[in-house]
Amino acid sequence: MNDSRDPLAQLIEADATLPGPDGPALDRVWSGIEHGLASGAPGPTLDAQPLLASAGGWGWGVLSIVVLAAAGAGLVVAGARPDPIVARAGLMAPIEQAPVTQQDPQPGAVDPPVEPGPSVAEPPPAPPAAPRPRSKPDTTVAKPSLADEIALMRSLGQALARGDHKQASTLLRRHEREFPKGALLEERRAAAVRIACARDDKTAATQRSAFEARWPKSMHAAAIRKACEG
Amino acid sequence: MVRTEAQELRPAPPDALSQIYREHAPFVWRSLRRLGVSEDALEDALQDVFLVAARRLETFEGRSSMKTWLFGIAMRVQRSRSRSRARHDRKLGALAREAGPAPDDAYGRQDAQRVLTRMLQQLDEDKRAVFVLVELEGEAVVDVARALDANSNTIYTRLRAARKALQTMAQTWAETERA
Repeated sequence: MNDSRDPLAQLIEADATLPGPDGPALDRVWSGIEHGLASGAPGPTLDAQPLLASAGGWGWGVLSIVVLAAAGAGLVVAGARPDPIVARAGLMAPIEQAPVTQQDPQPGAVDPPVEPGPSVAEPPPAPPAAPRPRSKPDTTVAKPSLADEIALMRSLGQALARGDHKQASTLLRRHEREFPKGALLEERRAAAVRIACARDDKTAATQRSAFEARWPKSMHAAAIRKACEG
Repeated sequence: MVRTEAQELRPAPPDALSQIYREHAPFVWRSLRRLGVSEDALEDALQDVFLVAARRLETFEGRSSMKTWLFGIAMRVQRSRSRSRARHDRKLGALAREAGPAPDDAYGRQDAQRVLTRMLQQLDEDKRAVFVLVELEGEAVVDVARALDANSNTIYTRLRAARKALQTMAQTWAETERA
């Protein structure tokens, strides 16, 4: 992944070769299906909510509008499902602002009736959204988001790139403190190994071994090798 | 047309189901993985999807493609499984935190495919589903809209938001990789 193309495009290209199940796995699953059908046992119980949060039931629609409005005002409503990245970065346009003249494979055609999704039951009518008591403090506002974690890890990567290991260590500790179970744990551990190697820390070898045991195919392996072996 | 429960639960003829399974099982497998089903649960989840499909096949009227219809079932299966798992985890409480695997263990074997799968898990369910179907599987927006019971503008909005969020994550990943 050393070329200058859009990183997301590179990942999508790699994803195109995502392996499927092998033959024995397919056979095992098919046997299970045949057995399940033959036994007459009731099938799996499925979730009955609309597939898209704002598309099917009016209850979810109302919630989504509340979430979008709250995101615009810098608030987060507990119980809804805001996307921290897009909400915080202001990336997501309100649904109402979505372009009406989108490219459609059948221009001018009226949308045909929607295929009823594979829902198993009608969702229960959602109760009217109760107004949230104003006096209750919203504890979710200060919670760091994934966007915060990404920004912090980006700063850490930049510090490493310019060889500022002191700053990198500071940011590493901050990540440990603020995101103990963050999504970028592997990146943090990789950075820790690289810092330890760069500083000739006596625990570097142990840290490296532990990292390689846990993430044997890590994409950070080359960077670690470079830091630890020169 | 009103269907009785007995009609809806009548399984599809094995031959028809077998053909659908042969044709679409790899797609459903990939989709389940992209939707966040762990490796060790993929076979069970795949079986659940086709058990549901067998019982619901009569309701499929062909207004969306078979792929997107199956994807809708896969979404519901994944959702039910993750809720069951959450309940199970809450039940175990402290024991799970002490002895259970760390949440990131699923990311142990990293490569570019897994990086994208991992990034997809950071999206909310709507954006993830739309991105997988349109961007990764090449399904038409209008077809995805029918299958997910949404209008095309909603799908476009979700898709744009998903792309932007993923581009931010991918950029960070690339910078870390280059550093």
